[in-house]
Amino acid sequence: MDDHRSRDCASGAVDTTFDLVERAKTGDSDALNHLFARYLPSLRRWASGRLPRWTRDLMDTDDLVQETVVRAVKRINRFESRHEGALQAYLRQAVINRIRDEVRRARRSPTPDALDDNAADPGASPLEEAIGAEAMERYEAALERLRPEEREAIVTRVEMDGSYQDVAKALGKPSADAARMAVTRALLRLAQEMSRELA
Amino acid sequence: MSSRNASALLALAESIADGAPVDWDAAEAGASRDEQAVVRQLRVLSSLASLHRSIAADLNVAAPPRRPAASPAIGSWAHLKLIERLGGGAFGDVYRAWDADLERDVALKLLRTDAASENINASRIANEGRLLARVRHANVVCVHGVAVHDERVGLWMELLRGATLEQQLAAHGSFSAREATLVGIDLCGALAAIHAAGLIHRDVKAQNVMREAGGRIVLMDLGTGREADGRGLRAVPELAGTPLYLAPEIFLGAPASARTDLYSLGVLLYHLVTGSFPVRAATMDELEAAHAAGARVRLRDARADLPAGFVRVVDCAIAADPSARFETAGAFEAALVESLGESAAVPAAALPPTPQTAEQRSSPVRIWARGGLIAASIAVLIVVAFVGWPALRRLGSRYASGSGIPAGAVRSIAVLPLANLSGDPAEEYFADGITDELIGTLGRLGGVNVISRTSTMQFKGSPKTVPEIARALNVDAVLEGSVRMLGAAAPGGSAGARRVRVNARLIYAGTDMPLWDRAFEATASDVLTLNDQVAKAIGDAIHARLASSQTARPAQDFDAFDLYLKGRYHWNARTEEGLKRSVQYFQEAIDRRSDFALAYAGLADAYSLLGYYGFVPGPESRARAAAAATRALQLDDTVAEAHGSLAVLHYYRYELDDAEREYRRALELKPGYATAHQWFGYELAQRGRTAEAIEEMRKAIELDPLSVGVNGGYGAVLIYARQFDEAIAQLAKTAQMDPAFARTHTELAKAYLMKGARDRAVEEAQRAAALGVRDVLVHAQIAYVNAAAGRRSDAQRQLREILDRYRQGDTAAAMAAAVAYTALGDRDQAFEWLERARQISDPEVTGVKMDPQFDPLRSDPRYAKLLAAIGMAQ
Repeated sequence: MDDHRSRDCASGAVDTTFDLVERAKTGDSDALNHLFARYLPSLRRWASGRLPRWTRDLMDTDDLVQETVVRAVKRINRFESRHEGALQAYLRQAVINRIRDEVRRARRSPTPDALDDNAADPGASPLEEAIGAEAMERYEAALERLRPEEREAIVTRVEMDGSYQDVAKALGKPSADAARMAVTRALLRLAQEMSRELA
Repeated sequence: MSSRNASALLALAESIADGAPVDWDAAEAGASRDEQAVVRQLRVLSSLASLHRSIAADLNVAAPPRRPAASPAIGSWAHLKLIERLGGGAFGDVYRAWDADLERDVALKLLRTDAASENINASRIANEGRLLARVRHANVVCVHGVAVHDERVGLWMELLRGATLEQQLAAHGSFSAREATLVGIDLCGALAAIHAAGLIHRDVKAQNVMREAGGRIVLMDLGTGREADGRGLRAVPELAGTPLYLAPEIFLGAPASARTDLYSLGVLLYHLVTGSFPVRAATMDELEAAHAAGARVRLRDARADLPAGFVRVVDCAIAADPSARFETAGAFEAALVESLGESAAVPAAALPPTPQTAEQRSSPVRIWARGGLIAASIAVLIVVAFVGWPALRRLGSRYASGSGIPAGAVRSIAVLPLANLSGDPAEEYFADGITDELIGTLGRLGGVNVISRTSTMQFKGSPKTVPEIARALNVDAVLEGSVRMLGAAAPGGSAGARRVRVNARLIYAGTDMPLWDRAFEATASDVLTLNDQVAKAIGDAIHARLASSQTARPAQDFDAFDLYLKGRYHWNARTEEGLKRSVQYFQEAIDRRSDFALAYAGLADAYSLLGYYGFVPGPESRARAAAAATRALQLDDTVAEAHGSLAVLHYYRYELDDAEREYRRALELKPGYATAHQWFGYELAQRGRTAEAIEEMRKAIELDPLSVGVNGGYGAVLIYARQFDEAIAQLAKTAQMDPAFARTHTELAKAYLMKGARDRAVEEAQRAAALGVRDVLVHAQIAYVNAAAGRRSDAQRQLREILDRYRQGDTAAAMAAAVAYTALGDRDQAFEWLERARQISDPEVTGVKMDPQFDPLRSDPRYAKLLAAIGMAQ
């Protein structure tokens, strides 16, 4: 029987993200686990919308995300700990890059899809299937042109489905209301960027 | 944009942020022409936001940490907060619970506190958890743990969100053959994993299979599972499993087996496409009677429009005679895969409505005759592309079929350090060890170079892309992946029962495309078999044959092997502490298994290096290394590393022919052994066989392109061969790789001196001096450059320091003094110190034959005598 050991979560909660990243880089497994607990669930969920189905056939989503996060954390040279949202956006970008790699590879694969122009794009993710690859591309491109704080507000609230409290915490905003205003403005800016992209 | 309009747009954005509904048509109609474009994009963002929310709601992943606050707990058990009751049965209740430690939702099966049945149920749930924890497979529910708390037994596992196949059947009607086939393929994988763990599921049915929102098929409820070994297999007292799914022999008293599980799976597929069962009955008596009478409804009769291939597979799976069924889950799966290809090629839509026999239906020729060749082949292509290919693609990844590269396209492979996914840096040694073992195993691939660890380790955690790495290492393919230990070792118990999972991708550098991408899993004690599987998969993909293993392995003793890996991990650090710790680990491994040849080979390597770096006095280290290498070879004559160690020991004793024999044997056993090529090459160069030496060094560089030792060694060999321009180029390249390795600079200085470029030589010598290393031979080389450049007083001061070092017991200083005296033109002293170095068996003495810095001694009669004494008579 597994005698369950309680872990000191309270101490983890007060660790700053900066500390955790620094400790994780030196190989502190507790710190890495805390980072996992903090970011993996939302990243996994998020990735499941971004990953084409066949990718999930090839590789377990959890493994992909976890592996990418392990590598990404180790690769951080100097984490400017403005706020937590920055790390989330960084990790999201790492996962998106990894997904793009996988999709890119698949598109070059010598599978029968090359024979058929009408076949559904093998790289289409659930989100792309839902709103179209072009709109997704437009969205991603416009998102990249936003200011970091705007981008982080959208990633935290819209993509990761965080509460306004989460957004406030991630962006270092004084209140949930302030976070709500930040998300709203960022969304409008994003829509304007997207329509510019279209024009 | 006016402020009124701006605030209208902001209000829309606010609704998106809040997730509030918006009448988009009205919003668009009310907007000005300029704003309409923005409103349309806001609408896109609105759908994106709601899609993200629905993914969050659909998928079985832990909610963000705010979840427990939002959902008040209805109770708690151990570290879990009970959020809602999902259901229950006679034995207990199932809850959705919040795991505060790992911040995720879990499903908790909690035993009812019923004193009368406590023992049975407690053991039943614990048994379920224990059995399930042994199985890790994407299509089997993942059990997190079992514990007793407050006298209640609880089993917590991943929370699945979706519908069971039975619910789906009820909600949407019968499955298509293709859908059922894909479900069947996944479940064959699940059963293969269960059977491989020595278990039998015994209750495969539509109610026990969940299809998650993302489409993942998960086999649940192994509660009735029993271990397949041992007694008590007889299915009494209970007829575990739902009777309609049970194989006929169970009713005759036969034990449940892997084949009865496969029978149940066959019934499940039958059920999915028909909603019915092959053998039907209302009571147990009727059921037994129906089986006894062989009364069954054939699948074809239950549903006429099914593809023949599918019907054939299901009929085979549910044959009354067990020997007529599939023997293994793998065989079942292969048949399903094959049927998928057939059914894809014969789409139901392309069939004419007239009745046909199954044989006619499965014949493509018939289709061509009826529909016209061109139309039919287009239909086939489209169907394969649309329907067949996702399945084929996945299967391609499983079976590495059709890798799509010609034989011979891959002649070299780099195995990048497998990432340690345990989350515990203390297990880094294990991932590294598995990487090393894999590199070793791949050495058995015929005609394929496998890059050595020193070169590949430099890419650990590297942000470089695969093509960049492939270019740096000059390889055709790269293997990358991760290692994860599943489950925890029992306290004080063996880690051998834990499971190891290796996820690996073999990527062809030419196209940056994976040839395959697979997960390999085995118990830890079987980890070497797992390595063989990975190696075999690589061999298949690149059309290379994997020679069978010659090296005897520790018989199933994972703990000894684990100690060996720890030893190698520390050995690779090449530091004094690392080498000494490696000695301890190798020794512990030997204490566990006194017949563990590899551990003796490791011990020999460790003592060799301890002596080489001067951390242990030469004679002592050599004696210990010799004893360990000899013992390793007594136990197993095929351990290449032990032959390599022995070669070095012969070389120390100036038994150069014996050394050569051992090197050749080591390389015959392990052609990809870069270090042996390197040492052998160096020895050949010292003996004057420079052409052979260069060939060996080039091979070493091919295998270990980024090793400073190998590259610098090649530079030294080129100096012996008096190819000074080439030596300078090679050594300059080596210095760039690692400017902090002093010997590269002194060798470079020597090469410059030979070319007459004194200033450059002094510059390099100063670089070496600035590094402040203890290596006395580096000091000797600096003295040599100073003397040759006319800075005699510097050289003399350095000579005095070298002599002090000798008096302090540094035996390597004898050879260093000989070098310095030679440089200063004192032949008598030079010969005297060479003789001292020879007497203490300093192998560096063998350099006198070819090293140009000893040219001034060659005309002296004492020179020939010295060469004869070290086995190098001219």
